[in-house]
Amino acid sequence: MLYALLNWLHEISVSPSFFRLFGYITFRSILAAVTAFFICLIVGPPFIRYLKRLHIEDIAWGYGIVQTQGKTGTPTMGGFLIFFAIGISSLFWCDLTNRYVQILFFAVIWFCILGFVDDFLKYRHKSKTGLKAKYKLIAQCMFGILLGIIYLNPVLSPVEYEFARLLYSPFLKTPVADLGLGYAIFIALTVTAISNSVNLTDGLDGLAVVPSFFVAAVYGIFAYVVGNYILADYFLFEYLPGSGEIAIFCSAIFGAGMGFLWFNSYPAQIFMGDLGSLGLGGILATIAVLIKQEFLFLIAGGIFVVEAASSLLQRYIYIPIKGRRLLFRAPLHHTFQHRGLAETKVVVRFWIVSAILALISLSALKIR
Amino acid sequence: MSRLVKSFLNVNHSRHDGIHRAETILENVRAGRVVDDLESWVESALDHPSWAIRNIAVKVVRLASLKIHAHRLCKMLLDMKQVGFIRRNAACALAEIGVGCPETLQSLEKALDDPYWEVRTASARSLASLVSPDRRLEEILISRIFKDPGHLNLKLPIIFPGRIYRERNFEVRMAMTWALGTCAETPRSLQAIRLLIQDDNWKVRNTALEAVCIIRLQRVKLKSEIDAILTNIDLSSTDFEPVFQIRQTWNCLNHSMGSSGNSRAGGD
Repeated sequence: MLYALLNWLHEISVSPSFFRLFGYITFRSILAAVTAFFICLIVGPPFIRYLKRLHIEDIAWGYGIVQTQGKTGTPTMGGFLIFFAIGISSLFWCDLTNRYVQILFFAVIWFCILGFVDDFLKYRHKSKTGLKAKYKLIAQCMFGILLGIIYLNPVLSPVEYEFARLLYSPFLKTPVADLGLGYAIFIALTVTAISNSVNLTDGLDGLAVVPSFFVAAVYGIFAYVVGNYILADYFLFEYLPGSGEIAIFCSAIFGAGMGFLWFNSYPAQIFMGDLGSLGLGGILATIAVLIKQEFLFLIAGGIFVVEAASSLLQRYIYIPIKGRRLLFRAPLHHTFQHRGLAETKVVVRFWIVSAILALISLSALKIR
Repeated sequence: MSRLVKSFLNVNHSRHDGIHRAETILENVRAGRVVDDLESWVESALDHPSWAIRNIAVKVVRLASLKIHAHRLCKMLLDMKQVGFIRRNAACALAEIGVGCPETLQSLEKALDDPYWEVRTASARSLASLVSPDRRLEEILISRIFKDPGHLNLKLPIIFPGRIYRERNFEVRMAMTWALGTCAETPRSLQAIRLLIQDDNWKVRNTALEAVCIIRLQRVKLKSEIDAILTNIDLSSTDFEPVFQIRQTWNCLNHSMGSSGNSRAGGD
């Protein structure tokens, strides 16, 4: 909205004005990150108090002795804060007529509703199980299929059908496969896998949010490159007009993530809940699909991949079929805790690894 | 083809029925309720083709203290065809029902070589609860923990502690260290603990200190050796338990009011 206003002011000004700055994606990206960060900082404290007033918190009711180490009573559903900041910041600084941005807003709304229902059911029934896993999977797959339909439909898609159906891999210049309409199924699988992997990782204070904004930063850089004709040509990427706006959205995720971390760092004042983790995963998956870098998530989001793999192997293969454990505990971060590492140490080490993975994934820009 | 599908469905259905029944029996035994024909159910369940039911049967044997099955559990413990959970639970159960069974100690000692770490851990813990100071077991444990008993005389600090261990799993080392503390008969246990106190993992170091406490209580004669060990200890740790002051204050208030406060608290 603000972008449209400033752009209009730039157009009506007779001489080169200050407003031309707002035409640059880089400048708007910085503004989006800063805006999202400050929104979190300003809205965060009253929002936390509001959640406490509504008793939307990880709490067991009653009297008696409490554990002095516990975190019960910490408000949850902090995902609202993240998506409020991303939403407002993107509304300000993104070009709302851009099809990529519209698709991303659709993803935000879809996953916010899904995450909210999940968290709300947990809150209402005061239990750890919210929405049943199969309903969650159905909703994620449905979004994936819808995204596939939009992406492969020449009328709705921001890209040509001939390009949309191609599958690309990091470190390779040429597409690895032409999936045709089957690409919609691939999208559904990608969205489901990425969304759930972020959800599984969200187990310790700050563990999911930092790797998420590292991944968002990587995808933001890729989006900027493929949306810039000169850079796309230089790095031998297919040029995707308008995809630079995704970089602004990614910046908003980065800023909102940092703002949320302000409150979510150990010991957390607020948890993101499924609303945050499913939503962040869903949006990262949508971005990966839109800039055709789905496989890059295996590197950039390596933390999420390993966490999800460890959990799935332990829960669905080793314990029920083999009758033994693969790891001490699953997901992987609980194994490290079991081995005697403090929560803070595990989290910071995971951040370091995710930063290194983000750097490695950026090398896929040049090594092709 | 349809017959094949039907038979598969029948088998699956009866299997689920069987597991459900087994879980109900386990719940009843755990709650201390009387279960009809428990003995005969356990007898058949220990031979059931489904490992999940056999596993529940082993748990029931432990909870109901069915000592008559100690011999059977010893066999299951050493049977590599049984899944890891069954072997682990058998090792745990033997600590309670294996008292007096001559095979128990022998089986648990052999299980210290099991390829699955949870079985080794459970066996070491069970041995610790069953034995009193025992020179033979002391040597067995030392040989299971260290690659070479000659390492016991190494000069401290050890630069690469991982190289001296035969047992790579920290949890098993913890359980074996504890067992070493309970069965310590000679100063060799203290020599081993001297090295374990240098372990990379603070949990092992912590268990080694606990083992020293046990030895100090049981073997007053080894006081000078213990004092020598305690002069060079790494007390650093990669973990801590936070104490949230406000929760402590709440607990004090709650205690002073005899748990009759009228405010709301987040109980864990």
